[in-house]
Amino acid sequence: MAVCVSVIGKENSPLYIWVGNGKEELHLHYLAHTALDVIQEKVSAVNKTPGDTRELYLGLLYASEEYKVFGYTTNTRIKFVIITDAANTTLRDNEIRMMFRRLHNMYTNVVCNPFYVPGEQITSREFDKGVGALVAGN
Amino acid sequence: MSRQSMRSNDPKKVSGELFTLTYGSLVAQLLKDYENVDDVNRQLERMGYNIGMRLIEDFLARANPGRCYDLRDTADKIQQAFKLYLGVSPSIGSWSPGGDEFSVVLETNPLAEFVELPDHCLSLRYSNILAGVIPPISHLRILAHLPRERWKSLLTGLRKDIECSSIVYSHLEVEKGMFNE
Amino acid sequence: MAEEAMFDFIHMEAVSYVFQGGEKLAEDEAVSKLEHMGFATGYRLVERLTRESGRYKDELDIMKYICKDLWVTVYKKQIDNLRTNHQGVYVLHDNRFRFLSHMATGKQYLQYAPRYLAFTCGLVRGCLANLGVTCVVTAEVTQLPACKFQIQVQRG
Repeated sequence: MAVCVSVIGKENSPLYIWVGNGKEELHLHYLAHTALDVIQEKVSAVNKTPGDTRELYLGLLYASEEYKVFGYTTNTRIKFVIITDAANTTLRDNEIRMMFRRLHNMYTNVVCNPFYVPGEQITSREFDKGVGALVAGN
Repeated sequence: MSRQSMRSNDPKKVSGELFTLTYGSLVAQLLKDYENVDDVNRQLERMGYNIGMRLIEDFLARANPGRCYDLRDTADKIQQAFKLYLGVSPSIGSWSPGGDEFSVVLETNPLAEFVELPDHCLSLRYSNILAGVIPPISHLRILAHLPRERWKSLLTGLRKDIECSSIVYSHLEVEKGMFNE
Repeated sequence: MAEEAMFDFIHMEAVSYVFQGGEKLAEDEAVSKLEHMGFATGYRLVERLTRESGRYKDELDIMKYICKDLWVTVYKKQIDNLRTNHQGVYVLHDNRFRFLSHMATGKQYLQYAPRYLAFTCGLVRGCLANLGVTCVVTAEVTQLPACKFQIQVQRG
């Protein structure tokens, strides 16, 4: 399953990051952050080729020996990054896509809370719960 | 909830969400305008009352709900109005032995769908507008058909509506004997 | 549909609250409160509504979205006419704007019309802000119930 889930704001500031127990936290933070450049590239590349599907899910951004990094971007310029163990071959592309869509829904609910100030770190209990269920595969 | 239904852009649901979000912005504005949370609660109830006054006209025109002969009829109409305007059916229950008090309970509260109250306003009755809406809609029905009815409505408002998954508890009291006139 | 009526009701309450509130607000301050509520609503709404759409290509693509999908969602009709000078100014004409359609037509009511436009100016600005377009939105009524919204994109 996922080892890291991260939500990154419009100006590339992290809004939320979850790292699995016993994982190298700093390294994963670094990977999630590096992924932003790849996301940026993918987004602007698609814009130049008309007729291309402009799907929110961006697919596999890159893979190292240890990890696979996947990306997703919303129309509101929020980026989601999910990192999985490279050894994990049971997760199919479609399942990753579904995880992103769920994450997107959960994020949308956070924004719709009238007391949440957009751009601030996410401290929602519901969101925590949701991410917990997401990474546990429920 | 299936993922499909979570993501559907059903126009009915979107209209409901638009209302929910607008309401959220209004509550946030009131919290900015008033220092005291109790004042916000009162203001919300007052707004609910005004909405109730408009809503009853709309309801009569739209749904032609028919006459109310007693408080049980009234309770039915309240239920019907919630279904029509908020898309949720509250359950009516906890009738008092004298049949002059009842509760309206919402299992899911569309107003509070996305709300997580910050710690500094836990005494906010977020959905108090609903408490305000009920008296005019029930009130007017009765007055319209029983003109001599003297009718006292008493509302205890919403109890902890966020924490215990959105329960609306409202409570109406009618002075006894008036129905027989 | 009755759910739509609730939006109208809550909007009317917001308008009468800011204009008849206990503090007797100055007109400007009242308008800016409504605008702010609209902004907060639009910002959140567009987050929900664009979950299903593909990514927008450019600014014009976004404006078309506002005129069609957003307007239909919120006001149950499309914008009747969209004009642009291709330099960041967009003018949206609505020949029968929902919040004005309840108002009697007549010169004497015209002065109150801006009160019913402020929330929507904010709503549009909020939607666009969240989609990455910073702008100023103003509205004008010439003849009830028609009105036009002008969007001036701020570049830089």
